Amino acid sequence: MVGSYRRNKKIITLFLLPALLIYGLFLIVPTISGVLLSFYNWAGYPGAPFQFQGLKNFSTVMNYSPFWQSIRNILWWIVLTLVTQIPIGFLLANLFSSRFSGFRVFKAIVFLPQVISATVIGLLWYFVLRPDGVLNTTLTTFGAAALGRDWLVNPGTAMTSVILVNTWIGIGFHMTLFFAAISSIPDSILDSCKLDGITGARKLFRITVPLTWETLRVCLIIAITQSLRAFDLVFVMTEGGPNGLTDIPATLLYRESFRFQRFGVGSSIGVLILLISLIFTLISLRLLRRETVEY
Amino acid sequence: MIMNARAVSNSSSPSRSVSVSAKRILLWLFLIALTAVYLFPLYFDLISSVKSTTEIFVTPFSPTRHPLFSNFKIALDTGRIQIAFFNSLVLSVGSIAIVISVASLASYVLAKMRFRLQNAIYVIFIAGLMVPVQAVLIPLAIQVSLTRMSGSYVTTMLIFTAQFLPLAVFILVGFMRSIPTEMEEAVYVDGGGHFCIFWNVILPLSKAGLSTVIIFVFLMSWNDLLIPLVFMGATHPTVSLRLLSFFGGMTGQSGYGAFMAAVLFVIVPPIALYIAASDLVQQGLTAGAVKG
Repeated sequence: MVGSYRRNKKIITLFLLPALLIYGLFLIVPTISGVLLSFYNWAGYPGAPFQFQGLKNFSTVMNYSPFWQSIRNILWWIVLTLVTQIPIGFLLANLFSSRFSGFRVFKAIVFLPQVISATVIGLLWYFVLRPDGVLNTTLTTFGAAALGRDWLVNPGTAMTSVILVNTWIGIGFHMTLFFAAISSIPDSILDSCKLDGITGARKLFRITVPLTWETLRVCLIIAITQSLRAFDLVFVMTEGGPNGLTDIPATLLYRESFRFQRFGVGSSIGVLILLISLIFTLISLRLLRRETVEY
Repeated sequence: MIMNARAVSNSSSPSRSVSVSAKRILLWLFLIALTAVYLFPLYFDLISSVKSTTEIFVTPFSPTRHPLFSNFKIALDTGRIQIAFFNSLVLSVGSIAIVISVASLASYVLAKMRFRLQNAIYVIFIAGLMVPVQAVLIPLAIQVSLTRMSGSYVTTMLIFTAQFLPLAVFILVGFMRSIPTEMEEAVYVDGGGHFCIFWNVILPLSKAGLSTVIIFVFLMSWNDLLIPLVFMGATHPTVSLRLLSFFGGMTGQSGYGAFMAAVLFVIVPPIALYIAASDLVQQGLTAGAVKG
């Protein structure tokens, strides 16, 4: 008698419909039409015809050197993000998990950039990195003016500077996840470590890393997918410039579509971003599949 | 021999305590450096908000002796940051309202009812977590301009809603599944319908999940740039859009201080929220990651 009320079709439809409608119209339909659109050309104003192009948009993109620049940049972004954000986040979490007095405050401070918009952060770091900015002024004060440069314009430093600001933003996120994981290691294991005299680096690699492997996996996937979604920080700090030097696929997509009205090319970049995201997610899920440690 | 050993252990203990306190000093030096690196941009913004442009660049680290409080007036009169603040507030509150209402209804059904396609629908919602916003940006822009819905609050709210629904459904279904069936059945046996169960049992018991979703949606929509950039445009600038155009309009050597003052207005809501509930905010922003 109670069971049948769980099958009330009217209620099921009524409750699901608003979410499904919004989700369908503003996420599912555009995802599909984005894939379709990448085979068409459209001039970007209401009433303009959609012309079928086949794979022409993709071949345009593939032969378009700014696209390859943006791919090189995003790969460098992913690599640099992985080797900085995750290890630093992990080590900070490990440090905070000794729970010295006041650790909560420092943990909250490292997480702070997560709360503030990339727009604000990007513009404030711009004041640090511009030619007459805080960094160069400081270098001059310490007699190292020769090291100063136009960090966001110089080909050797522009992309890396933006990526490091992104690292600075993201460390707190990974630190928080690792902190939760380290906190959930059972006391019995920590006690037996103490008895056996396992401390320092040995404890870190033999105990902490294996027991937080699952979280490491999650962090890797998040770091990669977040990198592929980056837009705001680059748009604010360099707008992809100078001359496409710091473009990532997202900023290129924005410029091609909304500045040059080349919506077909933009859509194919969008489809490629979607594909790369899916591939990276699946690869990292597979590569990192490892037996979880039972304790 | 025994005497000797004791002597050794005695002499080693003071040196150990020295090394322990050296470790403590190192730890605190590190923590001070860490804090400096993380709080510098905010400190810089705070002290620069009452400076002239020259002072901002010449003495970036020290507070000024002659504060220019007029910068705040410029941020309001010329920067019109209060209008952007209002626009962003409308967008965020509206998005929260829509996400919470549609996601909680859908999650109730997905967590508690039994029907065909139940799992498929849940998976479709969750799969949205993998779709980057760039993949839907252009089709959405076309869709919106063809239906002449561009530049409207409601359109942007609905786009935000679709972006945040996967996470909201994921979190809320998780919460609602853990609510014991007996509680709903008791209400049902007493003659309460689904609305009654939903309102009096499910929602109150999902408070923690709901607050996580609210915090997430608020911060994400308040801080976003790309979606407002494409869908709100110049007619109703959000805080991010206004900061960007205000900053861009200051190519001359006058008034970066006013920009810094405008930034202060913009970061007050997220920082106030963070100070009031830092654990909840840390939880809320990492919620999607906990179960991958």
